[in-house]
Amino acid sequence: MPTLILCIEDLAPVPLVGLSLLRQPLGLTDAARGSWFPTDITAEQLVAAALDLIAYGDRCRESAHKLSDLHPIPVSFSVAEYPL
Amino acid sequence: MNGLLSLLLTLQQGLASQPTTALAYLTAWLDPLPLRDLTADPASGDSDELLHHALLVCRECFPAVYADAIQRLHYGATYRDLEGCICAGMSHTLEIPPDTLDAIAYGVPFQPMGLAYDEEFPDRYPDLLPIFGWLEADPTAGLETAYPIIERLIHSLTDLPHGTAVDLVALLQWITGSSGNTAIDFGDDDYWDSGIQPLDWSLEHIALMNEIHSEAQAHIERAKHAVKTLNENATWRQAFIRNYTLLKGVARVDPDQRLRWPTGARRRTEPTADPTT
Repeated sequence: MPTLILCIEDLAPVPLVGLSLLRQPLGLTDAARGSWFPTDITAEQLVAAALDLIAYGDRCRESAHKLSDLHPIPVSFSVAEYPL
Repeated sequence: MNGLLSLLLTLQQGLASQPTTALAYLTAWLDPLPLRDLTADPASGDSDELLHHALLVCRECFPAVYADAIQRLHYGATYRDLEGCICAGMSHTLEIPPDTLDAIAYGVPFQPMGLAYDEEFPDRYPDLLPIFGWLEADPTAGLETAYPIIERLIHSLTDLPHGTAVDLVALLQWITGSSGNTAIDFGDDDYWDSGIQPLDWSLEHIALMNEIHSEAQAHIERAKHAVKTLNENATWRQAFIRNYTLLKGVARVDPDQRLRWPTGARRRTEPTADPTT
């Protein structure tokens, strides 16, 4: 399990569409409105970012489900005849 | 820029710069629903559950509507605002959109367009009353006795390469509820009494329901056109009454041989008459 965690931690962050939008500094208008989220983007950008994140979240949940259901696999087996 | 604005921008940039906090930030912005729950209990009737269920449906089937609704939630939209935005958004995709969040709870909206034979029939369908007069049937009681004869009329009209014949088949199927399309064949009460379960929300079911509704709407348009033709075209009206009367009086008439429709409505499979005989 620790090895698995290390492997996952070593993965590069997924370049999500929404992240690039979030990393653009908020406009003064957004800040003045007390908004934590960008509003100066088009509806198409918003939908693309939402779709991308939903798909990413679903993939993550699916992977987590698969990982939670893994059965132990012996990495070494002492009975030489077993493959026969 | 004052200190508070400066602090907000600094915090925002700090959150967005680290992968873990950036992902949490992004989720809160665009897809916060899974943070709460990916199930809902709309049957409870609770407005919070109805809204949560509607948002889950949008997340699955109408992502653009979902993205818009979530942004409105961030800025304090009321239940009514969100209901309006969600129903209006769904109307771009659905042939028959819901008009409330309660309606979304029942699955993909279904609109029965069939006729209901009851006391209110004459007020609801005044244009159809002459047809029932020609069929000598009571529109408040239905067409059970005339049904076998109408079925034979449909058979005789089927495959005739004439627009009016197609329209007339649509009309006869509509009044007898025999088209094979649930939206055409069931009236409101019949449908709700039938026990047919509404379709769950999925892209496949939405496409199927749109197909059912658009086919039903086109079918009923053709049927209404047939009513207009029968009212305005004496030739077709007389042929319709004559053929119906003939079938009613003679039990064993072969519709293909004995029934005659106006010129140009010859059956496709019927051989052309030999002029030498």
